[in-house]
Amino acid sequence: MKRLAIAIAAAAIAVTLACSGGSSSGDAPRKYRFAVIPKALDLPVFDYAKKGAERAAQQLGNVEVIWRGPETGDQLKQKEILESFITQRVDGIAISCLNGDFLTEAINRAMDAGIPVVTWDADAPKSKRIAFYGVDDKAGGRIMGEEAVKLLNGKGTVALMTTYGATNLQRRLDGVLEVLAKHPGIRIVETFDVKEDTVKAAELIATGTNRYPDLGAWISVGGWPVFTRNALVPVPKSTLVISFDTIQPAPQLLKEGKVQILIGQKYFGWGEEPVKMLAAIKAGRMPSATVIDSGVDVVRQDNVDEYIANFKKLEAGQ
Amino acid sequence: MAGLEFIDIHKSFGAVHALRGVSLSVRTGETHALMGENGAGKSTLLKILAGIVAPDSGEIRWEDRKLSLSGPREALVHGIGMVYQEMLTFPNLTVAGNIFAGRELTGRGGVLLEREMRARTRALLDRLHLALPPDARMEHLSAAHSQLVQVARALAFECRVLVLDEPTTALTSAESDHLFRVLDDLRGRGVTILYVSHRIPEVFRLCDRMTVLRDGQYVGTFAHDRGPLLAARVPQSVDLGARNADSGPRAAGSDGIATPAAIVRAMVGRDLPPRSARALPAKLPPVLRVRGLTRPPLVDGIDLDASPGEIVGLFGLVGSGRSELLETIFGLYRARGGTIAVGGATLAGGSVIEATRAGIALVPEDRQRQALLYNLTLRHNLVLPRATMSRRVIVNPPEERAFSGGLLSTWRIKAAGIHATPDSLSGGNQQKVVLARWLAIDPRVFLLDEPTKGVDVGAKDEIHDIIRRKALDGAACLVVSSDLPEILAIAHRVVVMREGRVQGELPADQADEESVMRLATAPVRRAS
Amino acid sequence: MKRMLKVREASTLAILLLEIVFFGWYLWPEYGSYHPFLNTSNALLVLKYSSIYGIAAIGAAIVIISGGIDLSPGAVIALASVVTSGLLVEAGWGLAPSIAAGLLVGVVSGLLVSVLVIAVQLPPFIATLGAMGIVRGAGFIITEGRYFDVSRLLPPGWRPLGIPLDWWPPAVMIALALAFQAIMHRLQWGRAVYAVGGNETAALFSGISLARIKTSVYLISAILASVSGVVLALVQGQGKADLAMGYELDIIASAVIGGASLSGGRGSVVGAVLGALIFGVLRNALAQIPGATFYDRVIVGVVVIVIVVMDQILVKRGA
Repeated sequence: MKRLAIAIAAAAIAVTLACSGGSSSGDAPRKYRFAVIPKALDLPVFDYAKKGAERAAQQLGNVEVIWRGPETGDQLKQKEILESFITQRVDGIAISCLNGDFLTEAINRAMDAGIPVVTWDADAPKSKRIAFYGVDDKAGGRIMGEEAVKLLNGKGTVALMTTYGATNLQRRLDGVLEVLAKHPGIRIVETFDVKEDTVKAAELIATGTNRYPDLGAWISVGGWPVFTRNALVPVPKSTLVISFDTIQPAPQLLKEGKVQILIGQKYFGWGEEPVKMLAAIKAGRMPSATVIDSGVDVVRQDNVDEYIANFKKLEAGQ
Repeated sequence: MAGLEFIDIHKSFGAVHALRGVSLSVRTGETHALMGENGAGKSTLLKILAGIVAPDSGEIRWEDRKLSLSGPREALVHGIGMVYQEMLTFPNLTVAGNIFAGRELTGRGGVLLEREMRARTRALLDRLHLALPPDARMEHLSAAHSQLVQVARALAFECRVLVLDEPTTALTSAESDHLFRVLDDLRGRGVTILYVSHRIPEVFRLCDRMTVLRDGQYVGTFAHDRGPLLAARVPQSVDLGARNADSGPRAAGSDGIATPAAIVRAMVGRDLPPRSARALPAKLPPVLRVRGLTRPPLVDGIDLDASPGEIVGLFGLVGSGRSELLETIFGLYRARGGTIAVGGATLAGGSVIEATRAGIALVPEDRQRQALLYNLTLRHNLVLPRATMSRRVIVNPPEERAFSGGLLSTWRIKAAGIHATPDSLSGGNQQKVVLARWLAIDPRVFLLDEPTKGVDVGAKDEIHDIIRRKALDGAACLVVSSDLPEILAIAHRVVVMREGRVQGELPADQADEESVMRLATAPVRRAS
Repeated sequence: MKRMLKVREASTLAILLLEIVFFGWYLWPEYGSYHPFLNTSNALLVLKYSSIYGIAAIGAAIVIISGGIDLSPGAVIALASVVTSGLLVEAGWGLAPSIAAGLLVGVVSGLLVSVLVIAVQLPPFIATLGAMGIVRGAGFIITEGRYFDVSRLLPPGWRPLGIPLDWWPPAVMIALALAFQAIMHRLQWGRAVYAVGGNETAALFSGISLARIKTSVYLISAILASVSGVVLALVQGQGKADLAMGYELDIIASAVIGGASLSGGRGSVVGAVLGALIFGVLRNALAQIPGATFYDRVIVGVVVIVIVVMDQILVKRGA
């Protein structure tokens, strides 16, 4: 009991400190606090989004970005983070949804509480969010499918890679399937679930290669095969690789011929555009549409050098 | 001249004052016995020498240089090799692996020199007259061989002092003899030996001088007057009668001449109580009837009766199956054959709850491992068996407090209160806690396995009194003890076991050390 | 014992209060009167999410007190959420039978662990590691990567028994914590769990049935995890096989900072719940500090070590 008393005394002192700390810094100019929530912290693409968001904040001047996401793609933790920003009453939220349906209710609650929410990269289409900025996933999927059909001359076997449960990946997959279904010469041998795990992706690629030695193409609706240099090592030259995402080392792999097509998203834009959008909403200007298509970059052998040069510029903050 | 000297060593463990200013010196090249009853402080002194325990004060000197022993490795560096009572071996390694464990010979780059180690192991084993392959796995060796491998391990590295802690506990007499021959041989080569034991015959067989400790204090050092080594006088048995006869002033403190009687008196610190109350007033029909009880390998067709009011002493060497017999009666194991009946009702067996409900209680051999719960207070420790055997679901704290407080005062257990934990108590009081909680269920059959192991002399007497009182109350008491004098002091009847069988029994008036030991070591009688 | 435990729980509570006071001070708003951390809706939020861990941590504490370890609660949470929501959504079962089926997941998983620990004599670490894989895998087999959206079945603003939905998880957690605190201290069974964890051999020699105690302990742990999963499915409106991935370690850590000793024999269920709240506050408050996001894990790790070391020092001094 004595220790409890000491603890309470310490608490009292801390409260006093807290009060004095609070009053002394009351005159700082008001900055908007925007929470930007990625799907996970362990995916490299989101680093660029973070850069973009911070750059936008810097340009705007009156914005502070709180970058926070679950360490891994844990949707429950992501929802907890989202809800904690609602109780904190931040001035705006920009989120890339691990599971749009799961977050819909919380997003609506934020909107009802007067906190504007925009989504990026992965949408929650059923929610009241003001706008979504990102790729039209189905269109992106279709492009992958079309490129595959072209390179395979309309016949051959295809293995797909995805992570089940994420809406945007499902839409990309739907796009791919839609195109492939029109070409009876193409047969899908298997769809692998990598569970958002790049290490697991490498393992599955090795397994798949063993199982289907004369596979025509891998189509991955996420960047798992190209996030590491090693994942594609077991794939024979005769098998094509088409993947989403263009973060290094992906372009390098493409230059080396391990990958044939990469579909790039506007990674920097993911962070930059939603922050700018939120600032505009705060200033009373609503976005022009609820779905803002960022478009995709299709990177091939012939434009890869140009793409890399461009990317470096963005990375340097130009 | 002074080889190994201990100077004013103090050591406490919590409330227990294990060593109170012990000084003694071992001459270079001699075989010196360190003697004392359980709890006298022998093991603590050894642990200090081995660098496992740091003394609170005092120092150890070797050939007039102070030793700072910060760990077991340090002791080895100084040439002190230890053979512990508990078999500290790695059963999964080979003999060579055990000998070099932690000090493997390595070549460049840390590569193990397997061949070199095997060769040195073979040489060592030869020196100990041990016909063992260096590659034999430790777990396949007999107790004696593993004990000798420990000796080999101690000798492997420039050993000048060899310390042995009760090395014969698990050995048969033939195996002990082999060990003694090895030790004689080592002594001939100038190795200083510190031999810890409370077994008088072997000490007289081996040692030049003997130092006795009691209750953590130095009592005295006695010189053994013996002729040339190989003609050593070996007392076959100790005349216990001499204890009572020779009760003059203590020879403590000075180098007296060692006689078994003087040593016993120094160890016990008093004259043993007269062997009173031997005959049962009236033999009642047995309350415990064990017939043909069998649980291989150590319980083999045991027949045993115990009557109300009777104290039955169960004696046997280690491995004779005494503890296993008690544990089987108590229902810890299901017997393969035979019956156990209490008060005429046969038990289904294999259930402790059933046994306790029938009125059987067991005070186990190792209170720390098998009895006390150090994470719980005395209150919980004291009510545990009663609570377990009752069918009550809900705890009644006020009742428990009153009950456990009552037990503390009834049995005069020295403790800070019922909220103290067992580790704050001395060994004797811990043992009384174990006794008290089983007495609380009012057993009709009271099984006690080494009830005075590791307790001081005063507590030992109290525990004996408790057992006698319980017997007078009408319980049948079965007492297992390795301490033969203890058995002889309290039992009405001595049952001797060997290799899981009853070798015979002796009424109190016919039992003495010699007759009991003869039964305990005689060849096993096989049933026809 | 009781006195000691009370002090133990008090010190865990003191750490929690200190933590709240610290973040209350650190996050004192620069402008306006609204405190982003010290407000009731945030408190409810912390309670709601901590309950997922806290309910299971009650079971984890009991297992740890008995000298064992349970690695399966994360998987059981996920499978229970899947079963309950799947039956509601896909099979059109009623609420009560769906909840019962979710809890049955705990019963089955607990029995599986018990059989492995007692009959097969596997170490609890291995047995529950195996159960974790089997249970997690079962969730994936059932869902095949989909998820069951319960939220659309439940009426908006649903207040079961008149209690708002978001208050249910903390209410269940607190009720269970108090119930099990009483069970651990007022029932012979609870005492026996402490005895088994403190000294298994001595417990055996005292007539305690190790098989019975261990079976019940693993059963309770798994059932509590399934309660957490069912609550999760209903309150969060979803069942999914990859929920609560890796939560077993947070759950064990909650029990440990709540005073449970991994060597058995010591611990408290209320302490475990307080431990889960300490983590909950930490997660919630760190979310508000810009730039802290990458340091979370380090901070959580340091907090665990500091609290356990403090505890050891206190125990040593108390002895």
